[in-house]
Amino acid sequence: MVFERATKRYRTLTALDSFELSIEPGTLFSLVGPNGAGKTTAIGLLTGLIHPTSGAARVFGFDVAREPLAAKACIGFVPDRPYLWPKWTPRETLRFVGTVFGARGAALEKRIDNELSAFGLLDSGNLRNEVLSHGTRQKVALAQAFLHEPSLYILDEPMVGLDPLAQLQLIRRLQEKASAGAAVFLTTHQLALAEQVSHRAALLIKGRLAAVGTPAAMRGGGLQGSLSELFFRLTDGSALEAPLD
Amino acid sequence: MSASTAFPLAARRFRVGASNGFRSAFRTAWSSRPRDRIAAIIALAGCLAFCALELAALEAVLRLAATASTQLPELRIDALVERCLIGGFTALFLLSLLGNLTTAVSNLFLSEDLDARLPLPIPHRSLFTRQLLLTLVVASGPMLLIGAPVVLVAARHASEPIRAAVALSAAIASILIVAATLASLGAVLLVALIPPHRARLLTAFLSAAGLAIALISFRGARPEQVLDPATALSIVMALAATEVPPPGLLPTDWAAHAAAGALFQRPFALTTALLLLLVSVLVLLAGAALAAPLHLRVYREVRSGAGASSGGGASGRPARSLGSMLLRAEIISVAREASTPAQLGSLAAVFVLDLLNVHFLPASDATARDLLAGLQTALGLFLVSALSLRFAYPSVSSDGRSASLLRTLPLSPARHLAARTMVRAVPAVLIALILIGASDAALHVTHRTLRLSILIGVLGAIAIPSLQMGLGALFPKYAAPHAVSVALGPGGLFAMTLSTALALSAAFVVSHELRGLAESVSGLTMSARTVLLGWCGIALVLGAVPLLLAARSLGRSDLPTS
Repeated sequence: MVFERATKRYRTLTALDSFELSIEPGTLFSLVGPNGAGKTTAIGLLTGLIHPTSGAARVFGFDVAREPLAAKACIGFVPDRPYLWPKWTPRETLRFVGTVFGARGAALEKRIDNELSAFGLLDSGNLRNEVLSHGTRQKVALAQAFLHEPSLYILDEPMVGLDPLAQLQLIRRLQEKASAGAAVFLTTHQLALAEQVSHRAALLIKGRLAAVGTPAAMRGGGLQGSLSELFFRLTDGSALEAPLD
Repeated sequence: MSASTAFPLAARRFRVGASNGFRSAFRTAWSSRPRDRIAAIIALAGCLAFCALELAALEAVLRLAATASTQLPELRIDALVERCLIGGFTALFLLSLLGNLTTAVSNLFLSEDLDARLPLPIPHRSLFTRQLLLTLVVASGPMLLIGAPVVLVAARHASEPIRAAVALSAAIASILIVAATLASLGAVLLVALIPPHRARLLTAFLSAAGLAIALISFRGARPEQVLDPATALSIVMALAATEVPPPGLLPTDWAAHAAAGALFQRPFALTTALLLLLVSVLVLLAGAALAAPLHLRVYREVRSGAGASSGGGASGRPARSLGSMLLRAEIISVAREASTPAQLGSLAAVFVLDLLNVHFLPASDATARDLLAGLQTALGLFLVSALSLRFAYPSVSSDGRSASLLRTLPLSPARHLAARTMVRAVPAVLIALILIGASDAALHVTHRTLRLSILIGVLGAIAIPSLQMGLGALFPKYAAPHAVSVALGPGGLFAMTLSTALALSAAFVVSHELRGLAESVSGLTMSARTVLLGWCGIALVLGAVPLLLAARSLGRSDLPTS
């Protein structure tokens, strides 16, 4: 997965500025940054939801803007909010997504059962999405991303709404997928999580890449302190020094 | 908080809320996208054209009435006008009541805006009053299109224009306010008995049934009788020969009495109209104060019970191909939309009405048969147009925010649009064939007319849903709360204008007589073949071009990512 000087401008606002990043297969990568830093814009470029003003985002060699279908066929995506088709059930949602990715018949049904079971959704599989809680919808969104065993997982704030057990299970599954050779690209505000589970991490501030590397290298290299300290120093150092009023 | 500080706070809150509301409404109507702005301009032009047509028609009727009154001095024009106003105001009240009922259920129980305001320290009575006023504005907006030209024409012809305009406006406003208040109270009582989604469905069905009953009654009254001068005269004399008795308890009678009084310079007419307006505002405030506590209780019960309801979706069969999956997904989405049964019910009522109407068609001579075959073809396609506006136009927007998930799937937008269109076009073709076929059979049309009307019906029933689907995808409203509201915008009006024009113009292709009439009016020669080829060409372009543009646009345009 590669960003090649990807820039996205909205009139006068530059949401992402000459963004360069590459992630190898087998890597679990976390992108962190303050609100409005451009994380969701970066994900939008990768998933084809938005198009770059200049530059490109590539997935396994496919330019997402020019060859969207080929690029999307490699991706499993979890949006920052679990918007699902309200009138469909989780099972129907998974069946639709699975069919789009080319799975059919009994094999697809077995995979659906496996994912519903893995995310504890067997009891709610035949309820409409509109009556599910936020956390359950988030699990459905996760299940649809895992369903077709993609080579690249893109997750925008995947932990929001999940209970601690579900968070732990998700982390383990993502680590398993990375060990099996898939690339995992996630954004999060949980800096400790990013530090603990990521092979590499990057800090995005005002649409620009402020730091990138392994968490250990960030701590031991030219960049002193933990990812959290680095985050606070580079975003707004005064926030730490100012007394709480 | 003392009363002296509470009042400025409420006033400031109202000012900020109203200012935000106006800005939000303006942003909705006047989008930053040039494409939406063009649609908004066309929609506005359509509304202005409608008002201009109504103005012209009213002026023509008044000229006719003036001529009649000089020839028939025994006519009491004031009585005729007051009785017409009583009829008009009663219809306005009933239609507003039904329209407001559905809107009130949405605004009072299914509004995200209300969800956001409820946790704020605002008295619930103020919130309820706000939602009631919003219901009044939203549901009564279309009435302005009809009412404004009436007020303008009345003022132009009255000897005291301002007095007449104010009295008529006050009378209409009082009716709308009372209807909105009663509908809001009715909505609260209804949702106390059944859940809001079902209540909205029921109210929509009631509105549709009411409209269908009104149409059938109108048809049953044989309005074509007025084309016979003797019958028309007897009707006018029955309405205008005697003085109208003093109004009783009905507000519509009082409103008509006040409005007619102002037009004919009766004493105290303006005062009566303004008093009516004042009373209606008091009714609104009293109704809000009375219903607010009940609304809050019902609202909390509805919210606490919302999570417990089960979706009950069936597990279904595995899909055999992507095409069948796309078709099935579309059918599920349409069938499970809460408003679909009510909307289909209303359209079924119009469908039955049209078939009943076939019995009344005068099929005595060849000219009438030719003319009516053309008009019935246009009417059949017009019904397809109405169906498409509800079921094809909102299709892409109905994905809602799940569009952000859909767009990340490796699914060709063109293929998906084709599946969506097919699900809408097949029933549309069947409906058109039944309507047009039944009319043709009842009229005993010639083989040529039969072939022509069937060809036009099939082509039109494919082109119109495609046109609506394409334009709906070009002007998506992913944040719309439900499918019905998707088409209530500039894009929807644009689509409706184009598809209605295509439907109505079909009459000229099928009917030789209508073509002859158009030739004599325009001075142009129109051969049947040229008109047929021209119409088919336009239908193909209208059906295909928006779909192709939409497929391109869905693949290339940005989607809000969060």
